[in-house]
Amino acid sequence: MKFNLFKGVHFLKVLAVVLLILLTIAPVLYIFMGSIATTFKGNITIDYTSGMLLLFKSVLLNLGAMVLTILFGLLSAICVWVFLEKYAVKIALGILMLILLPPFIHTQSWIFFVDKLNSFLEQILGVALNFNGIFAVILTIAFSYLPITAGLCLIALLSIPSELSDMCRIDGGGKTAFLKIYLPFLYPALCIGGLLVFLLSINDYGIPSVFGINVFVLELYSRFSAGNSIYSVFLAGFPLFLLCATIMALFGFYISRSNFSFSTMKCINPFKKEKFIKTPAVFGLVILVFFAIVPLFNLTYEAVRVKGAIAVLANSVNEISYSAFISILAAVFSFIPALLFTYSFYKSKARILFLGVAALPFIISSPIAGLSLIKMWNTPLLSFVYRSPIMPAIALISRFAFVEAVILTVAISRLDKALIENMALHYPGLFRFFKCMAQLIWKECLAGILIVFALSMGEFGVTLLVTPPGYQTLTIKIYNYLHYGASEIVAVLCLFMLVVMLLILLLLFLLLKGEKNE
Amino acid sequence: MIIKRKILLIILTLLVFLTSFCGCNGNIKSVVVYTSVDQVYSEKIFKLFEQKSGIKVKAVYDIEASKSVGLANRLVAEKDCPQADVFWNGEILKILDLKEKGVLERADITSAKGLPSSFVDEDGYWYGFGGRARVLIVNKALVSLENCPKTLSELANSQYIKQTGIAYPIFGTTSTQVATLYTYWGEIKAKEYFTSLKNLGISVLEGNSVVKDYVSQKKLYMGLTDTDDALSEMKQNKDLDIIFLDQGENDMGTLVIPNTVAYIKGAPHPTQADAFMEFLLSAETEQALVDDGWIHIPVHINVTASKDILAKKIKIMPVDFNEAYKKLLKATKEMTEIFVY
Repeated sequence: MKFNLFKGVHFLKVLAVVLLILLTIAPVLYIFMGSIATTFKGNITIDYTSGMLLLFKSVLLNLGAMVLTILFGLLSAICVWVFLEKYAVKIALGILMLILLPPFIHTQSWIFFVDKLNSFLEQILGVALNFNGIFAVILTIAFSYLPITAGLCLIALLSIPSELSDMCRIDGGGKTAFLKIYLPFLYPALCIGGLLVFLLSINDYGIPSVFGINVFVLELYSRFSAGNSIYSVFLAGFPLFLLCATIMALFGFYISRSNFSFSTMKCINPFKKEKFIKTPAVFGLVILVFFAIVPLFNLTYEAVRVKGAIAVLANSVNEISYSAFISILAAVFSFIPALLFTYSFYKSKARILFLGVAALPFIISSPIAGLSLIKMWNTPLLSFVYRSPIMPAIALISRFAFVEAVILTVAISRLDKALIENMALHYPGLFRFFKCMAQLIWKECLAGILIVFALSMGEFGVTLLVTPPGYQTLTIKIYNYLHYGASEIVAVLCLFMLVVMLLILLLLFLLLKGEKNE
Repeated sequence: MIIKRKILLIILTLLVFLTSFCGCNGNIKSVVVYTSVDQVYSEKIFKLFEQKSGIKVKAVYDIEASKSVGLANRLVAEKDCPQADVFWNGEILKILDLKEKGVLERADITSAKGLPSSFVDEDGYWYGFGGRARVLIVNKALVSLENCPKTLSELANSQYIKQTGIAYPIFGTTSTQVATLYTYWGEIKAKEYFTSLKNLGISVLEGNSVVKDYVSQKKLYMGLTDTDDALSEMKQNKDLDIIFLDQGENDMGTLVIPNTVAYIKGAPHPTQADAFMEFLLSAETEQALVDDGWIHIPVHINVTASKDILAKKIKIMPVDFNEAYKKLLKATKEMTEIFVY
């Protein structure tokens, strides 16, 4: 008799939840319980009044950045949709991969660009731009996170059913059809992208402080720096945590309403000859040009100053291979809880709630997430894992596993329910179920893995705290050199990271092209 | 066929895990060092130690983005099951904090015998050596040295206050300077001083390295920073110079922040940790750090100071770092109220 380990659905559900909890939210729960216990003992008293105004200002600032990023994303997506129709699908995935380029590169590049522009303007007109304050912060955030909104918006545009496109082409609805039919299709993608941008930017003090703007997270870091206990820092940041949890709930709401799918992406643009779409497309082109040229110009300018670029890379072989190793582990192994979860809960309405809970490590600041992981894993029972080189991969899974779970959940929810039921009936068991499912949603699976890989390659806040002695990631090395002022070495390493990511993407396109034909 | 493929997949996965866990070679003696000192400087010292002792250094470096306190906080979190043997810190107050939190262990280091008493913990928990000074970096193309303030107090009355930069006084060596001023001047005077700097429009920047960048790029006339940042930029920009503030007869002197090193309680490799601390606290290592540009004011008698500041006679500010540590929390809280809220 053939024994099927995964036949018991209840067992799988329990396993999915346990895995998801162990790998993702357990450290957060640990900190949460510790904070409550410490508060009840009276060891910590937090005065929230003084920080509230700062939190309010931070929210306003990030809302502004979010709106601009959404606008830039929409215009950029329209540009690709109109002018680069043939390559739109590949560009969509390529743009998403550019999340890898860390925000500090955009920040430095924009400062560098405006400095050069100012010296030119001063010579010609005798005036200079004042690139500082709120405007500079919002603009830099918008360009740093543009890949998120532009990528998602483009995918949503490409996922619009072809029947609708045909209808618009035949009926010739023009501008009204675009605004009344197409734009509502884009709302979920734009909202998801915007909320993600908000979540990422409100937990980062880097860009605002460069331009002289204070934000709420800076206050948390000052506590962290002055030696406050982790519970004290966590409690001081609790209003921000609650805000992020609310944003996460909204995020879940829009995810459940989203209609984009990687599998059905096809570029059909019924408005490409219409005049009304050309203007935003041209604006989008300008934005995309700035998005690409400013960092590329800065990185290349710095990189050509390096005498031995090969030597720089050769000296970083260990860091490059270790970063790739843990990022691949994180991306591939995030897939296991994501798959188990999706398989167990694809029918359940509670899946969004579970996903929201799994996303908690993503919405707390990285020092707290890192320290909570240490508290949980550096115990006599588990310290053999904590000491091992795979610990950063576990940390990355804890932070990003939910991304793959979200992508798979959305992908399966877009499939015909009857088809899934039939598959579950005729091909029982997780492996067989997945084998069938993989035929239908392989693009989503791949996209999920690639996104987690890209996010993992760029992460440094948590990995710094859990990387075992004797190992170092490329991003941490880049940050070390950045402080030293060796911008040309940083430029070489960043360009290398970018080229590697684009090569991986190209290779995947080639491989998948062959697979598809087969 | 399918079963074979599954077995192969499982074996491959296991192999990946096994290779990960067996990454270390048990036969090689090693010491685990956590350091907040810039990697470009500390890495060379680790290599020197490896060549000399045959003990491998497994280092973990901190980064400026975590305000160089990530590892100190990691040590506190790892307290019950320590992984590090030694903590080499680029400043001092964090070491005092770790001592207070019971992370450190006493050590008896022979190389430390020649160190001044103020650089050695009376209980033997930490040792200090060569330091960096807090200086005013000036761009001479924009302002002459004669027109620059000569003391911290004069800085608040300077006509160039709006063209002067300071790093956020809630992080790093700038917060150490604030805490020492809270001790030296008293809390009220120190708070009033920083309030006036803020009100007069001093530029608050992200870090000390940004301060020297801005002065070098002529975005600011002058700024308070550390000697390591200032001197490295001076090598590339001849318009820059530094001023050691408060050097008058009745002035308090310039703050020098020492490097500190401590032994971690329950360290997994105690013998190797001792050997490393002996090496780090030796005059030879201090000279190597001076020559490389990390340390500028050595404390061993037979070590020569950095060439860039050799000609300048420096009056050092007398500081009780234990008192400064006691003021740190309050000082940081008040600086947050002044500069962040």
